[in-house]
Amino acid sequence: MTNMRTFLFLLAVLLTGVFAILPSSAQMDRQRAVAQPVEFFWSPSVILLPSTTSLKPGDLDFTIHHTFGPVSGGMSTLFGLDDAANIRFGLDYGVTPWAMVGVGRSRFNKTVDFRAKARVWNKERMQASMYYNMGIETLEDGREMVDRMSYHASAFVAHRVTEDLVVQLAPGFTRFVFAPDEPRFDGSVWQSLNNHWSVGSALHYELKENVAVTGEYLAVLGERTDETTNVFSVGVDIETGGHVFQMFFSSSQWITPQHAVAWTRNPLSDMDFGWGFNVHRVFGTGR
Amino acid sequence: MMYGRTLFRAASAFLGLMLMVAGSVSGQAFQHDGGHVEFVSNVPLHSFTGVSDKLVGRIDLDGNTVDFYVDLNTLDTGNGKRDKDMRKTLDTAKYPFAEFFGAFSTLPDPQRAGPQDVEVSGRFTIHGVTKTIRVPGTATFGPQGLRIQAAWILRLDDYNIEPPSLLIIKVDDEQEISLDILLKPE
Repeated sequence: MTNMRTFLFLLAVLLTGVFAILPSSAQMDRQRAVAQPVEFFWSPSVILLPSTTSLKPGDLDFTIHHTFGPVSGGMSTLFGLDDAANIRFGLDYGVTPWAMVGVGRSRFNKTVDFRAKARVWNKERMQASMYYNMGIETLEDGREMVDRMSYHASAFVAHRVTEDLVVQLAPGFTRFVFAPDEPRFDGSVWQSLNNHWSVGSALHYELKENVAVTGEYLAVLGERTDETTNVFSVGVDIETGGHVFQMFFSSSQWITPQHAVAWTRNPLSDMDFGWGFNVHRVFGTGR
Repeated sequence: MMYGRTLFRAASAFLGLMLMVAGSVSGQAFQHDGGHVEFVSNVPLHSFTGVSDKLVGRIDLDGNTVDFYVDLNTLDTGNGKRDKDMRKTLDTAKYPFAEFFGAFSTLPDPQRAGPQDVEVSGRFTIHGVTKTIRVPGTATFGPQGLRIQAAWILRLDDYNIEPPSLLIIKVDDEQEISLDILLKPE
């Protein structure tokens, strides 16, 4: 009887072992994978300001930025369309999942700018990027090369408040190597500063799948060049699959951030905006 | 006493047999969690591809089970806005996986070299809807394991998925699905 009990015990142990090593034919447990958070904005720029959104590695973003004159011109300027428009053609390229570089050329002051953006934080609800732009004004006015340079460095932090609402804050520093004071007609001097501190704020709200409203406010902190003003812009993004169209009204015609900070002279109290549009076309060269 | 000895011998033989079976089948199951799966969506004058390299698969030749799944949140279409729309369309918060569980119609031969045409049939689930499907493909046994390649057409309408629109143009109802995974011996 004792032998039988011992045998049954051994049998149970062995059977347990055997079934443990036999391959299971049942379904695997489904386990969630780690996925990259989706981009917060639909393009690398909100309106005039850059956004935390980065390009995928190998993606090429061809951009056209276009800003017209103030609508206060009325019918005589066809609400600003007859005024000199600032146009920037640009190419941006995704180098890594976290870094992109770009180059562009604006009509105003014939400015060529090189820019780079690196994402340093990318979570489901929070993204942060560092941005750098170097401009070279190629206008033929006899300036030395070094005096044509301007820089803008900024840090962006964006927060997805809800599924449809994203807000962004971007403190920045702008430097123009050459910022001469200029005489006014009344004999006083128009003082120009080389350096400006600023903070940009932006929001992006998705009304529906392919339409979003956007807004920006770029404020100079502390001392500023005489008569320059903060920049306010409001727009609509339309996404069509391969393109993002951004139509907007802005108090600035400048497109590069350093020029928008240091050169905009259009008081918001005048409510005199010009309209403009950006077109982004992304070419997927990565695959 | 005689009865006990007979039972002991019979049970020992049974255990030995079970152990032999277990030993002989231990190399007949394959698994990997880094397979490639992609879909191609078409709209007039435009198409885009969504890819994921997080396809998980397991094939047990002895039990004849074929088990695949992918976390749909890992699909990347190369455009963040489109990724977000895709996740919304597929309602990945509620239905995170696309999964298949089935069996080979005819088991592939592990001793045969080169690609073998195979077909699996089973239950495919996406967006909370399950359909029985048959998928053709190839199985290739090699020193590194079992490579499975397959492709089929998925109709969004079959799974109650509303085709997303690019403005007023809707994405084609038919999606070309393909997968490629090298399953390693367990």
